[in-house]
Amino acid sequence: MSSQKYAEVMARRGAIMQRALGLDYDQFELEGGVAFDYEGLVGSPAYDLDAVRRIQADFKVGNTPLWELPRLSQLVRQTAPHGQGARILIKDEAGNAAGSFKARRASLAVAHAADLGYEGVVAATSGNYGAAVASQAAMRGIKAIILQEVFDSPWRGQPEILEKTRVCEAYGAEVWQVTVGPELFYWHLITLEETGFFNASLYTPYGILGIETLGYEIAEQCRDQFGRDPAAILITHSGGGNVTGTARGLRRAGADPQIIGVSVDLTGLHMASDRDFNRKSFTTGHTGFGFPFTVNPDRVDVPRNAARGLRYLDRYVTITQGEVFFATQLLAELEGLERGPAGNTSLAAALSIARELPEDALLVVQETEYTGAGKHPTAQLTMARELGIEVRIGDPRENKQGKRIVIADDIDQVQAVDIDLKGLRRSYLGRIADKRPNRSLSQEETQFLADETGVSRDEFAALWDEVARRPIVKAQA
Amino acid sequence: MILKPGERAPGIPADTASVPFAARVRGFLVTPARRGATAQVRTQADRVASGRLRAVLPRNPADFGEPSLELLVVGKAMKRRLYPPSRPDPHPTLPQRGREFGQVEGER
Ligand SMILES: Cc1ncc(COP(=O)(O)O)c(C=O)c1O
Repeated sequence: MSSQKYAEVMARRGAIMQRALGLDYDQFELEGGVAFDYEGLVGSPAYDLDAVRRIQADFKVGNTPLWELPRLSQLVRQTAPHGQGARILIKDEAGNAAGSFKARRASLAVAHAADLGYEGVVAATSGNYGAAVASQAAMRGIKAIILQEVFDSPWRGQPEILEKTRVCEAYGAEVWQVTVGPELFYWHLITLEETGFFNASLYTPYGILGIETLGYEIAEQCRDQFGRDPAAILITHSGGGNVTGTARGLRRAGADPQIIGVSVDLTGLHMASDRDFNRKSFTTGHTGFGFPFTVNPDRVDVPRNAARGLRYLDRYVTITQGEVFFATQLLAELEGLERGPAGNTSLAAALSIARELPEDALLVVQETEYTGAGKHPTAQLTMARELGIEVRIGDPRENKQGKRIVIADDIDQVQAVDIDLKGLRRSYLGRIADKRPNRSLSQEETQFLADETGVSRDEFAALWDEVARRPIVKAQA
Repeated sequence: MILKPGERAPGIPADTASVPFAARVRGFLVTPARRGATAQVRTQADRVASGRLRAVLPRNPADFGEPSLELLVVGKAMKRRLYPPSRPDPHPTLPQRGREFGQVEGER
């Protein structure tokens, strides 16, 4: 058996991944180490959209309802300027097998693994994706191993992730529950090496292509049910797959709504900190993933991430934990839908952004997810209180990550906060500039970076100029 | 334990670096064993994992926690906003904080 020392396992990462992905990423690399053929990568799966829809229909995924939330819209209008307060719609993705939009990603990843003849799949994920992979693997009759970050060092489990363990096991998966730390990836490599299974990563082209149907369905349903295109789509944003796949699907349908990413504000809490781990009441859709993934998408378990949020985001906002809990409560009590945490992140932002739009505009909350023990706000708030976090009603501006959760006391208190996308673009480019002391870029790289940051060539030239004038920082590993 | 404190990834926060990296998995016991003893389990993916047996028939720990008075109060307040009461409300004020939410056993 090969060495299991941390550094030695990490050094084998390239070879392990190549075998576990069945895809040679080198073929997409372009000269210079900065640019790669992104469209070539995302376009590499040999399935067109119809084929994807067929696979999903066969495996209990997709064609979820798009509901209008008239009572929430009416509530927003009570405090909105006259004539404003958009029609809020929600795509009920909880109806997918395993209860979230992640089934769209898993359906393709697992289909691909089965096509390639792998005996099983491995996914390192504490989220809904694990449940989705386990459920899809169950239907394909192949094995699933899910690795989850569940406990802090006193073995206190994050309630939502404990529920994810249960649900993955319900679908017949082998589940490893690990303690806090990036060594989850190390354990992932060892598991792939020992089993020879497929790495059903969230970030392969399959994981993105599967979501395109979601954007496509939204465009179709808005046209069929409401006779027009949506003005804006709100997308809970973390690793970037949700934004990327949905935006691509909308484009395929010829729709061009504003793409708005939404993350729960968890700034100040460290993602790899044993202490902070359970002081977060959200396990995904938050800034702890949203910010770093947007600025540096390739920090993932595959050589190149097919999820690249900055390419597609027109706007990016944050919302506090207490505002999401408020939205969750209203969705249940006013609209009769009890749904899970991450999906309600974009719903909370909708209660704020609807105020800015005219009454006849369609504002789409792009997903829901299932709820249950551990995922419910009451489970999270109980845990928060046990850890000494104050919970109260009031003005969400008084929220303090890891110290105080403030449940909004009125509808007009819910206020999404705009994140400066230009600042994120600068951070992205700063990282590249640090690798290029002479600041020179080829034509190909210039086009790539303009696409990567979602700006025109002219805007890019100005941005790069700004970034290039900064002092040279030592290149980061 | 998978990695001792000194064997962990470089560059992690000090609080995490000072504790081990550990993992748990469930499965069918390969041979009967007692809690606390070294044992082997066969997992759902038909692999064998060994380690200290920490629980037999481990109970599912996730639950719904305590009710949240804060959420119940704002839910009610927003319903009042949307459906203003047609008669004067006999209980117009709602508790704002604390533990003023309970359950009684009914009697006549
Ligand atoms: C229900 C739900 N919504 C949104 C997200 C965020 O998606 P992404 O990581 O692709 O940005 C996740 C996963 O992390 C999720 O499980």
